[in-house]
Amino acid sequence: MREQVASFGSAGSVCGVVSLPVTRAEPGWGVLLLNAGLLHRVGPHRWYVQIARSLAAQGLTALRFDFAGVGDSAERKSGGDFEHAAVHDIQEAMSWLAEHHGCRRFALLGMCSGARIAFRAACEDLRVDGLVLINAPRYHDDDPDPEFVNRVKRRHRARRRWSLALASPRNWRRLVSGRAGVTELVCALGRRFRGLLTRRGAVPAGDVEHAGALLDRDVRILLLMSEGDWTLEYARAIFAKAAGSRRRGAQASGGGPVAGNPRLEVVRGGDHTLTSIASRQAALGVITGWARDLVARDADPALHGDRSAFPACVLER
Amino acid sequence: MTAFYFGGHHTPLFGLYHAPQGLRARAAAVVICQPHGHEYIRCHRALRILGDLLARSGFAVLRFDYAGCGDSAGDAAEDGDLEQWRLDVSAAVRECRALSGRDRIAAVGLRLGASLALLAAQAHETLDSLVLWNPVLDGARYLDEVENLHDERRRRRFEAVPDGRTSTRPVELLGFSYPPRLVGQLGALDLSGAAAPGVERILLVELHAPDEAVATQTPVAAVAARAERMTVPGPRIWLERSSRQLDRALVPRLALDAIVRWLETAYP
Repeated sequence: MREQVASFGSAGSVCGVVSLPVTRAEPGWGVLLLNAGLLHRVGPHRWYVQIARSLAAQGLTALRFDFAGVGDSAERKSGGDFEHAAVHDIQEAMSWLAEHHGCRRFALLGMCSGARIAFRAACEDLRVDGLVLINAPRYHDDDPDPEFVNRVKRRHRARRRWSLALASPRNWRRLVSGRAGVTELVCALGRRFRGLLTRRGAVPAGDVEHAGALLDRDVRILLLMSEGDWTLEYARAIFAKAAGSRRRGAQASGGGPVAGNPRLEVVRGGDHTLTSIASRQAALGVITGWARDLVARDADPALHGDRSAFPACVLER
Repeated sequence: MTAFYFGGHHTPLFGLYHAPQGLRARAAAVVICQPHGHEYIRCHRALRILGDLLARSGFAVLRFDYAGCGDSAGDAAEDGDLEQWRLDVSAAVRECRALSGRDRIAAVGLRLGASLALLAAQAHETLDSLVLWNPVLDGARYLDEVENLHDERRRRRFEAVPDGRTSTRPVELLGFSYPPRLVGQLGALDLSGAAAPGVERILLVELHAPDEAVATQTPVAAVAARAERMTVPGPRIWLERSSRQLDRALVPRLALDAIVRWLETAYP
């Protein structure tokens, strides 16, 4: 593995680092790692550097770079919507990788806002064949129904508090010893359930529609969600609906079930940026395994177009 | 600005060179020494902007990543070593001289970066001036502060915080692994008596939030006698309170402007 500076865009205004494999696995996957918020290209806790080097060790070319105005890239002179401009930067990055490093297939990896931008770029550019979306706060819709979002957040908090409360030896000691009063316990239970009784709100139709379109295109999607982050519930809601309608459609037309895509993995003990090293190690294992599957699928002509060859993965509901 | 790799073939260091702009060419070039760990992540944007401001003022500037940090080769989780990082500062100084054509070098260090710049000066690296921005002077105290922040974050996530720590295995602090050697070096770091012979000018900058008492670390006794001291109101940008602050990058503009003005005065 070796690394080189990547400089592209208008007058070399975009700054990045490309991790190159010793032996490239065909057909030449390029994986782009996208800024998480305003954090520069090394990623939260320098995690993107580790991901890029691990992917290169597997034969993929990995590029981490800064969107215009972030990190060490120049400001975009034309102004305008940041996300729209970021999608443009991604498109330039893919072209650069194709021209300079022979990449022919592309996957985008993003965390938080980077995941949302990755999703949007995949919707707009057919060159994107893979997505790793880590804790995306939303996908395509700019203004999802706030009642839906609030319900998702409350539901997540309620689940977390239940699981933490039940797992606490201190709570059990209090209950068994009689120090926890019944009234207190009932009130606590009531507070927990309150989060589940709010109005449902409307599942963002735009997010579902665009997710479905990506699945129709067979874009391989890995949803990597932290156990401790509310975006897990959001991703479940969106992609379960998108995948479910595709599954029903495939069955209605007499085809086989849509297998293996999207894939959702929950990172135990992870917070929004996967601060704990153990959570990042676990997540890295999932990412590299998913990348191996991508390459293996491309390397075996028999797998092309045969979705059932992937192990069935039922999205949690 | 130009990104590039320099240093040894086996452990290349990542650098960013800001060429001087405008008609005024300053008599010195600047090397910016960054903090470590979570502080490096939080302060990156502020130091990039400092590099831009200095370049606009006519200074050549080199920012760089230490071995195993940022985009440089290696992994500090395994190889983190204060002595190596001190040598990296010297390598950056040599590179900056070569790129800028300037023999006089001013080192601007933030937090542990300031400590490393001071260590380099102590080891007879020829530096013309030093800007020590909230330097880490007491390494044991620094480790305690970072550990407290780490424990605070874990409590917020309802995780049990172990009593005591062992120095025989890597320590995990706010998402970064500190190998035993680095923990030992930091624990032993004491710059209270540090001197920087041969450095003509020294500026000691302390940021403090308006609602804090102006609490400074123990002054560097030998250096403080020669240093100009400046206290600037502003947030301590290296403090990370939440993992969700990805869309916030604090830039303490008053401190940056003060540093630029001081260097402009030193090198008209």
